[in-house]
Amino acid sequence: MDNGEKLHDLLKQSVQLHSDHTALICNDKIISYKNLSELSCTLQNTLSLMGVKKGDRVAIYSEKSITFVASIFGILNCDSAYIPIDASAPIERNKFIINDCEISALIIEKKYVEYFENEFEIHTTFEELFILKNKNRNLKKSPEDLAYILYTSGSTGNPKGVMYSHSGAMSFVNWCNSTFKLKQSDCFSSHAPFHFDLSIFDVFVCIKKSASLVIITENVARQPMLLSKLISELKISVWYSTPTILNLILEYGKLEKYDFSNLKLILFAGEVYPLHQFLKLYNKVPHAIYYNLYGPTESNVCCFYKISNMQSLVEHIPIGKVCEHYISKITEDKTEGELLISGNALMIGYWNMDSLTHQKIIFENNKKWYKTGDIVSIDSENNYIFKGRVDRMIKRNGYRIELDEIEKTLLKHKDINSCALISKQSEQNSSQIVSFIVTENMDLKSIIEMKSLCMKLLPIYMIPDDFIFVNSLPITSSNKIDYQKLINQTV
Amino acid sequence: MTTSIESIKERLKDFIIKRFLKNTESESLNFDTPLISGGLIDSILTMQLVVFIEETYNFEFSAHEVDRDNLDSINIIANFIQKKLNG
Repeated sequence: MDNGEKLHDLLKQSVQLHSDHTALICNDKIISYKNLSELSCTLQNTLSLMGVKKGDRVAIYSEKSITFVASIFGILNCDSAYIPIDASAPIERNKFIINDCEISALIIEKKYVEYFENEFEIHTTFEELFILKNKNRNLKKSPEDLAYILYTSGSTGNPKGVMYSHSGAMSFVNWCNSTFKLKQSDCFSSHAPFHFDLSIFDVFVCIKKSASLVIITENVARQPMLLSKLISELKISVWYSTPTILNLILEYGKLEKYDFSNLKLILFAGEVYPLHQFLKLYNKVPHAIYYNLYGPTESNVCCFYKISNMQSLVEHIPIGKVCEHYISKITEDKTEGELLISGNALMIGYWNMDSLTHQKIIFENNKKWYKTGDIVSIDSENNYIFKGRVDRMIKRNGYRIELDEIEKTLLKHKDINSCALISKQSEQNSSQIVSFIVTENMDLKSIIEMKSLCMKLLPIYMIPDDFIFVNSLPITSSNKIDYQKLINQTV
Repeated sequence: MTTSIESIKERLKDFIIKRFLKNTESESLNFDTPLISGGLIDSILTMQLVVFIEETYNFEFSAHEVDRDNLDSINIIANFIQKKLNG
C-alpha cells in the first residue's frame, strides 16, 4: 500500500523513538539517530539556501562514510533525488554520469573538485566534503516522487541511470520488514557500495528498524580478514552481500579465529551462489538463516528463496518465488523462458532513455511488465531456477556488466583496431571475461599493459581477466563477430 | 631456505608469472610493476598471493597487513616479507 510515505520519513520516525541509539558506525566513528538527523537537516538547510528544490537531483561523489549517509537524507529532505557516484571508477565515466543526470548540486571529496570546476562553482563545505553548485540553472525536472538514480552498465558503451521512486523503494523496505525477523537491537552490515542496489536494504531497512548500521568502507570491503574481524567485534547480526564476498570471507577470512555467533540472518544476491560453495559456508555458520534474493536493479528484489531444507537442494539454489509486492510470469512456453515482473515497486524508467524504457517495460492486460532478460525455469515446488541471459549482459562478483560497454570503451583507444569479449565460467564457477584484441602496437600486446590501460578507462570490476592477442577476429556469414567461435577457442 | 631479499623477489616474480600471467611476459613484469593499482590482480588473486607468501615464508599476515601498502609491487612485498622475517 502506498500511503505517501517517503524514505526520509524513516529517519524522522526513528529519531522520535530512539534518538540516542547508535545509527551508524564507520571505522572509529559513531553517530546516534539524533545527531544523524541533525547533520542531515544541516545539509538540507544549506542545499535549500543554494536553491536546491523539489524535482532536482544532487550527486554524492565520495567514499562511503557517515557524511555520505547524512547527505542521502539531507538531499531527500529537500524533496530532491540522490545519485551515488562510484568514487573508485575512472573520472571520465563519472563525468559522463554527472553530465547525463543534470544535477543542481554535487557533494564531493576535495580531491575530485578540480575535475568539475568548469561546470560547477564551489559553494560551501559540508563536514569533510565540498558542495558545488551547477553553473547551469536550466535543468530538467525529475519525474514525480523520484528518490534516487542508480547507474549501471549500459550496452551503448555508457552507463544508464535506473530511476526509482519513493513509493517503489518503500514497498521494497516494507516487504523486507515483514519477511525477515528484524529487531531494533540488530546490527546491520553495509557492505555494498551505495551505488549498488543492495545498499537500499542496508540503509533504509536498518533505519526503519532504528537498528545500527556498520558502514564498511571500500578499503576494508574486499579484505576478508578485516571483514571477519568486523563481524566478530561489532557483533554484526544481519549480513547482506554478494556470494563472491561471502566466499572470500569463507576461504580467506580465518573464520576459526573469529566469533560469528551473532550472525543470525545472511542474505545474498547479485549472482548465482554455486551450491557446493554455499554448503561450505553453511557448515561453518550453521546457526544463521539464509535467503537467496533475486532481482535486477530495475525491480530491486522481486524473488526470494529461504534456504531451510539442505537435503532438498540438488545442483542449485533456486531464486524462489515472487515477492508479495510483485507478480511474475514467463514468456513463451510456461516451463522455461524470460522472466517478466509487474508491480508498483518497479523502477520509473531509465533516465533520459525513453526508447530503452519502452523496450524493457511493456504493457500487457493493462499492466506494466519489466522484461528482466533472465531466462528461468520452474522446479517441482514452483520455484524459479535461474538459467541464463537473453543477451550479452553478465554478472561478475555481483556486478552486472554489459560486455558491449567494455568493447566500446576499449575501441575508443586509437591503437585498438578491433576487439571482442566473451565470458566463461572458471573452475571456481565464477564468470571470467576474456578479451580478444587486434592491435599493431607491440607495447599493447601485454596483459600487464592492457590491464593497466583498462584501469584508466573502466571500473575495476569490468577489467577483463585475460587478454588474447589475435591478428583478426572470426566473422560469421552475416559479417558479425563470431562470438561462438571465440568461446570454442577458449575451452 | 635462503631468504636474501633478491631470492624473495625472484620467488615472487616466478609465482606471479606462473599463476597470474599464464607463464608469459617474464620480460614486461619487473620488480616495480604495480600489481593492485595496475589492475593486474583483483581481491581474490591478492588473497592467493597472501596465502602463497604465508605458506612459503611461514608467518601470518595480521588482518590490517593485507593492504595495498604492503602488496602493490614485488619490491614492496619483498621488503615487507623481510621485515616480518626479521621480526
